[in-house]
Amino acid sequence: MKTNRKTLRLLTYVFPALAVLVFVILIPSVVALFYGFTDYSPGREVSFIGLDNYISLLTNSRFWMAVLNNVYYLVGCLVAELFLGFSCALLLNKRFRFQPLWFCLLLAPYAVSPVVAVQIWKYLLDPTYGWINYGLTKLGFEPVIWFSTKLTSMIPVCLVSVWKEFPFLMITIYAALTTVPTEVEEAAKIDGARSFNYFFRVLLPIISPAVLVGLVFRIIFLIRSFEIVWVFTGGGPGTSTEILAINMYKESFLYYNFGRGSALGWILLGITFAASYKLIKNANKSLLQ
Amino acid sequence: MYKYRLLKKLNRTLCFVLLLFFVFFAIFPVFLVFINSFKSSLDLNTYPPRILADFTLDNYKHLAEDNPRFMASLKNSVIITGGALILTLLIAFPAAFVFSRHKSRYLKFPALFLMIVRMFPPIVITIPLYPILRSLGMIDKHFTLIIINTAFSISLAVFMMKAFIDDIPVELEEAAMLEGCTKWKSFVKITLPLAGAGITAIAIFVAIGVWNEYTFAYIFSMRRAITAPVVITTIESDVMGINYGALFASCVLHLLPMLILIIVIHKYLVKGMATGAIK
Repeated sequence: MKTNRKTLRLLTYVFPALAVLVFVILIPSVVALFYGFTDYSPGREVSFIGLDNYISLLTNSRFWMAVLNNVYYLVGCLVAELFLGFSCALLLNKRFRFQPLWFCLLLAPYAVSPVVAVQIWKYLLDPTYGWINYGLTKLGFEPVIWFSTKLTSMIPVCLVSVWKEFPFLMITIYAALTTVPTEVEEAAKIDGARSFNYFFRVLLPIISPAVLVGLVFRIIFLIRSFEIVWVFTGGGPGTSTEILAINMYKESFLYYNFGRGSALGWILLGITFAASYKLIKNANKSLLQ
Repeated sequence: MYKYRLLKKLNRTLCFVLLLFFVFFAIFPVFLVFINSFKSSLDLNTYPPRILADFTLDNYKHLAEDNPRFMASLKNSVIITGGALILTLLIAFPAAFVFSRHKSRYLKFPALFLMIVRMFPPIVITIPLYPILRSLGMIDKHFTLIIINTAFSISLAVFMMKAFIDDIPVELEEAAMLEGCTKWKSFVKITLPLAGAGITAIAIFVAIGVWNEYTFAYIFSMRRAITAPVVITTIESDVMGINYGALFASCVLHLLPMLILIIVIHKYLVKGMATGAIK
């Protein structure tokens, strides 16, 4: 009886947090799951249509194009972010003079809102009087009209995304590097390891668990990302930058197919969970130690 | 030996130049917005673009006088960020206390739930929430955005706070409990002030997230509760064509507070990552 009262008291401390999450996130998500099996559209009668939404989505070429665009966007951003994150973290770890200054300057994009980031880069990338094309023409190249072909229209979008988000991986990697004791490097140097070997054989295995966690987080956020692409291109021109979240938004708030939009939302949720399953499992294990 | 030292020095210089190059990539766009916000629209429209031009405060004056919509949205952003921040801290603090100071198998499920909910894509809940909020008359209300933003900040705040509280030795609290304090009271009186710096860092982290939030504000607000990021996306299309001056000035007003705050907490960011809190 006594333990029950104690448990109850403990749970009252967690209760407000759980209540907000249940009402704002869990219940709406379950409602969305239910909508996914209907042809719900605001102002019309709802009827249950089983798996029709999912079937029509999975046989729809526009959906698969959004998937493909999302993969393109994800891989492009991830490779660039990883490169920048590693480079900056390793360089920061060399501890040049004014270290905090360089760190803060590299961190700056992280504080900029996605909307502002898009506005800045839109100006820089403007085909007629932007700075980037001005620089390209000065160097003797043809000015690039970014949104003229399907292949190049994703580049500016990725660029904004990478610029804004690379500090996250940079901090993750840098934090992991600071936990590596200096003795490790000294020992490796004494054993005659070249810096190339030292990095791949010694450093990378030590920091890779932490980096992997950061990477999974970036993948999750890139799968669901919406703001930057929506504000920049709205998924256009045509559908050349239409990624999953934008497809979902258009389906629901432009065409008012809330049922189909919900089904898409749950596909998004499923992909996210598949990507983060191991992360949740590991975190939960270490959480209550 | 001399040659080796020279090579090493050269290598280090090269690394430094590389670092400066990345720093340039990161900071140049921000720097450009700053100086452009002080240029007249005439200087902004010249081609080739010029870095330096005559200094003027016209853009800010225009924004303050002719654009009440942006100023109101900035006020809304302050209200919503402040509200969500206070609510998040009030809710997250007791939860972090319990997760850090009590071990009970009954807490396993709530912890798992908090963890999983963090993975939910925010955009998914906009669909079911829209008709619900609409029927309740809650669209375009500050409170709606405050509560939604709180929900998406809580889990991060709880786990970060737990990590910071874990660092503070529990013995101090136990000493206070010997003096007759209850566990919660001794926690509030002893540990809370010690965790102050960490909690400030968390508060700033949450504030940055809410201040920059766009999707919910875009979908759930129209006029009265509209926030600055949503207005910034439409500010460029003036009656007179693209008005870059007003755009840059509004961008500066929006990004400056968070830029200062992130500089304040930059040390905690690394520490937070190293302890696994932000992850």
